Amino acid sequence: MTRAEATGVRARARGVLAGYERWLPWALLAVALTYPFWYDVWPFSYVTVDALGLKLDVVIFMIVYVMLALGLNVVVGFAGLLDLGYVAFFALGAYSVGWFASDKFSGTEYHFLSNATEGAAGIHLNLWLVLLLGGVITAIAGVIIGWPTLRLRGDYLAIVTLGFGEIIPDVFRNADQLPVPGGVQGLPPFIDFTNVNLTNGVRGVRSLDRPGFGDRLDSLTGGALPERFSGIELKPWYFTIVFMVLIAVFVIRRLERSKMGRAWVAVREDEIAASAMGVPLMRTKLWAYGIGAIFGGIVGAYYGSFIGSVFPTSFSFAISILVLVMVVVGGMGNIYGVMLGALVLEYLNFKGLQKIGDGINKSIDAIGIDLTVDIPRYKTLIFGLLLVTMMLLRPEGLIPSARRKAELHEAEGLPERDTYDDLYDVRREGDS
Amino acid sequence: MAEIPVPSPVAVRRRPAPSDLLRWIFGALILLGLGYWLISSAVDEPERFAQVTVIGLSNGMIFALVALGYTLVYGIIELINFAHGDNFMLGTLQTHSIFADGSFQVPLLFSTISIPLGTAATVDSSGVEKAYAIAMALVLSMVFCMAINVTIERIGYKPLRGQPRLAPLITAIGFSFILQGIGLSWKGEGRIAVPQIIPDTVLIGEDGTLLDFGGVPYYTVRDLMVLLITVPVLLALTWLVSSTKPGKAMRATAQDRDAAAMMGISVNRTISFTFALGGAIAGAGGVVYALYVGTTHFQLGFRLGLIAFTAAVLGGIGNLTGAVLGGVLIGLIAAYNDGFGDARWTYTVIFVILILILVFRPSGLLGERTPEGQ
Amino acid sequence: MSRKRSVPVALGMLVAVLAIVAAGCGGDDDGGKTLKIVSDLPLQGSNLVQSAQMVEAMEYVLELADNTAGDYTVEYESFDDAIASTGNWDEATCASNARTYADDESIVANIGTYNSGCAAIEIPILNEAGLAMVSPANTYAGLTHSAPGTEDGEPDKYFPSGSRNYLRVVASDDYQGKVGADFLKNDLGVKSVFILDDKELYGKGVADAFEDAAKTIGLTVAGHEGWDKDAPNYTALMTKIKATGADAIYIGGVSPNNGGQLVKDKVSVLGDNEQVKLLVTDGFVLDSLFTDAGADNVNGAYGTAPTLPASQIAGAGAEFIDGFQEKIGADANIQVYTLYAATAMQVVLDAIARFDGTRADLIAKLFETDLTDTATGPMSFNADGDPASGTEQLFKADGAQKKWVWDKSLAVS
Repeated sequence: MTRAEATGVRARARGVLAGYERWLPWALLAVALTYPFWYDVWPFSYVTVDALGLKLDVVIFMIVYVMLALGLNVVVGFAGLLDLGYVAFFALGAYSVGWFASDKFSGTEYHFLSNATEGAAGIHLNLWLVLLLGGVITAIAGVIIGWPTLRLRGDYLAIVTLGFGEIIPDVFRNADQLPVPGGVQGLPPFIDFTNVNLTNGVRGVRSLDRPGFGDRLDSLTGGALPERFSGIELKPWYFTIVFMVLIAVFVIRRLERSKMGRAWVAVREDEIAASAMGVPLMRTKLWAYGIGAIFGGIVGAYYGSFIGSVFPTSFSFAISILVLVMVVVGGMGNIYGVMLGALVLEYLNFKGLQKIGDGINKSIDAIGIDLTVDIPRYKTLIFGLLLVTMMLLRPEGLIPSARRKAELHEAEGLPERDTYDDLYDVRREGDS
Repeated sequence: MAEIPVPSPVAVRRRPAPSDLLRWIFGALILLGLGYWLISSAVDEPERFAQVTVIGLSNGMIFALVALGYTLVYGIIELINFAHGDNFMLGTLQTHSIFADGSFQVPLLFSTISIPLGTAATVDSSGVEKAYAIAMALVLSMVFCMAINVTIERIGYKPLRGQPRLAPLITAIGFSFILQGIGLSWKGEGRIAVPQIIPDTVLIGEDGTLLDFGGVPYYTVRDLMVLLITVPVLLALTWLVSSTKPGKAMRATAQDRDAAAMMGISVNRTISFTFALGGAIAGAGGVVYALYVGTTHFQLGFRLGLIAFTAAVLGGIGNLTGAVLGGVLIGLIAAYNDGFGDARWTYTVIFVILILILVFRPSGLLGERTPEGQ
Repeated sequence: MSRKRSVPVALGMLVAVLAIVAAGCGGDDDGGKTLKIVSDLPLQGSNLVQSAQMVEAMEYVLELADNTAGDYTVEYESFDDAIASTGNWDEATCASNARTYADDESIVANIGTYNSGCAAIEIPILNEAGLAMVSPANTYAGLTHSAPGTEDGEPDKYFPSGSRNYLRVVASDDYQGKVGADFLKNDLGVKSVFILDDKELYGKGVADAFEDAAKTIGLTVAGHEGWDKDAPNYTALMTKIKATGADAIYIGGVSPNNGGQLVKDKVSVLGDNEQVKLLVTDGFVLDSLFTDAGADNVNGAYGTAPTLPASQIAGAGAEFIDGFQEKIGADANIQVYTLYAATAMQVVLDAIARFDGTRADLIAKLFETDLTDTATGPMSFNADGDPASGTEQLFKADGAQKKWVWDKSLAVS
């Protein structure tokens, strides 16, 4: 297909799908809001539960990743800062529930609007506050991490964030004996270190509090807005995360069109030009980094409470990469793209590959070939192939942002690189 | 030692800002603390300090070998080749095939092509058998990793040249995963013990065959082996980059790709050549690692690659001497922390160093200030 | 690539995926007196050998019982709580599995989990659903009783409903640490010991329990550190241990965490296991350690495990073992926890034969268990859900045979 033909086809396709941005979100929203009520009803359940395994908790995990991808998209997609350590914020958010809504600090007893058992040891703040607090803590962490490092550009920034992403789980793991300066001593090194148990180390913090709506709403609504979320009835959990995503989408769309949003794009496209035009580089980047961190923190806190425990082993580099892949595959900079990417990839990651593997094995079995293919085992390989293929064939993602696409296909419009390419292959006699 | 200069902008003289002063004070304090700790450890337990130093040097030289691959590629196309560590991992797995199965293997998904060479060896094999096995391992593993690296460059990086820098970087992460998947399907998920064909004989120190002055064992045959493979590789590489035509082409390409192309240098071929060189070093590193450490794993490349990358950044990325210096320094720091600090925090310490270097001196110890670092 | 072309392609792929997935599903629902038991184990990575054999053992128990218990037909399904990318248990999968069991009314018991961290997630969810859980392998003490090293509020915080629903057929870590310390001091005459752990839940837990017990009985603890499973080698760490003058090393952890390299470096720096004694926990009492570390390097090491070796079980248990060995083939080694999975299944089947059909009653009947001849000998539980009589066994590594040889029983006091 020549380039001209391709453009024509693309134009026609655009005509067919014109305005999809207008109705599709509302249709999807309707599906999302009603899902808990029909997914396990018979004709639907055959597809949703039996075939796809999309039970409510699986969907909740998928939406958790939607939030993460939305947050990372602000950093990577809007501001063009490659963050390879996003999991650090997710972890920090989860641990803030461990600190402020559990019996972790059982030496003290402080309750604030909490639905924890009366007189339970430890700090118990209202979980809704802890969700916000998770955001605040990660925002502060984001600024602390970002302030010295955001001066760096491109791959150096990637490496520093990767470093933080690697350090933070390691610190959480070892911080059951965190040496902190506890006093002064006469002999060098003059500082007396004492060990503090900040995180319980590998044992993790367990039995975290859950959100709730208080007694009055519970009895008024007949349990639809429970006093304390249950570990089994997942509808309240589901609607909580759906509303969190709605708020996130609203906020991000407003941000995208704000002065700040335009500044992000300017910085992403050309730092020097943006700076010359009066865009304050550091502040712009710091905002992007901080806002991205906030989303990671809030959803981390939600996730910690939903799982009920936090362990340092849960926050590996693989999650940073998974979220990055979601953003890239979905379409950097396009919030619908990254949401789609997150839904599809977390589904494949958590359930889909296993289901597909089972399906393939049963099909092979049915034919009578004695062979088992362990598809989930090759998850890294599959994701790696996906990344490479995407970057080579469709670097703008499934649903690209218009600007990104133009940027990535610059070379097609401007033939200078092609000319250089010819030049690069010059071969001279005797050039060994 | 030669260096591949990273293109740098016209240097702009700046008046030192207050924040620069703060940075220097902070840096000096860290160095002072580190120096105090090391000197006091050395005074307290001189014997053990020497022993730990040797361990750190040997580990550091392995880091240096891997770091060289990062630095070579970064120097020429300013890409962090994330797949390099995993390529090194495949080198260690290939060495396992050569020593344990006595064959050169080409891993395909779900099956492996095996070419028997009769190179199986154990610690009890004769000297000739061992020499043959090690020579074959070095040559084949280098060729193997070279082929992988060049293939990756051709398929993945070349089409993305001239695109935003995120694109090849993400592709590199993708290749890193693919190589891990290949390692997994090739040798499985367990730890793999490579036959230890070099004995652990002590040369210098307690019961040493060369020098015996009691105390503790300082220097073993394995440490010597690391030195005997690493140093020639480094010298050859330096000579290649500084004194040969392809080396000259590399340096020219690193300086200014377009100008180099106009001067008649085949830029594509030069870049491929650099990747081939990087792959060969990864292969050699894999053999040394397998001989010295002896346990490998399909996820080895990720962590070790990060450490090696830290080493490259510490020394000044793009600078060959810097990569070696950085590797040895990281090896020493890790060993001192294991030996005198708390082993639990070693990995954290290495990454804190990475971050501090990038924040306070992005150009590294020997490198020039790069536009990236500003 | 145009959108026009990629949309049909994508749709086609989606249909294909759906078709494959649908082919993999067969929903059959029998009414009547059919009950279901599930097991929850990590069926990936380095855990696979052990867990797959546990599944086999449970299936064998059911086969012997003809899939019936009392008046009920019993079905069994094995769930996986690990993810492939790490090969280890995953908190989201554990939570998701537990909710699946809670939702399915036909499920009466969960035999699991393998990892204590995963159990800490599943117990509270199943507790709310009032579903019984019997673990064949959890050894973290705090799940059932408070002990040195457990946290405030344990174990009550795992049981939000206030009543217990969790039992286990293996003794917890605090026993293992304690008998290990006794053995080093009294039998080997060790004065000073250095402790290493793999920085994971199980390894750290047992190492902490050991440290506590060692201090209590007056054994000097020269140091306690964690090793990083991704470090290339541990020689520098070993020089430090040498400098402390410790005459024994205690390792808590699992050998897939680079344990082979650790033992190898221990011998190369500190000398063989006669010079400086080596005591490992059951995560290292695996035959694979001999290949990972080199047989000579493991030779002479001691290991403790809360499990009786197959050779030490008599009566009906021995018959079971013979039958099972025949089933898996004479060459296959029975792994440490395999027989405990079988025991757990036997215990559950026994309770089903006696219960009135409700989940709550099954829990009550499980606590009343009094079996004399399970795959691991007699089995009954105390009020915490721990086995009434715990067992700790000592094994010694034999480098020539490349296997762990049973040495003796250690008294649990």
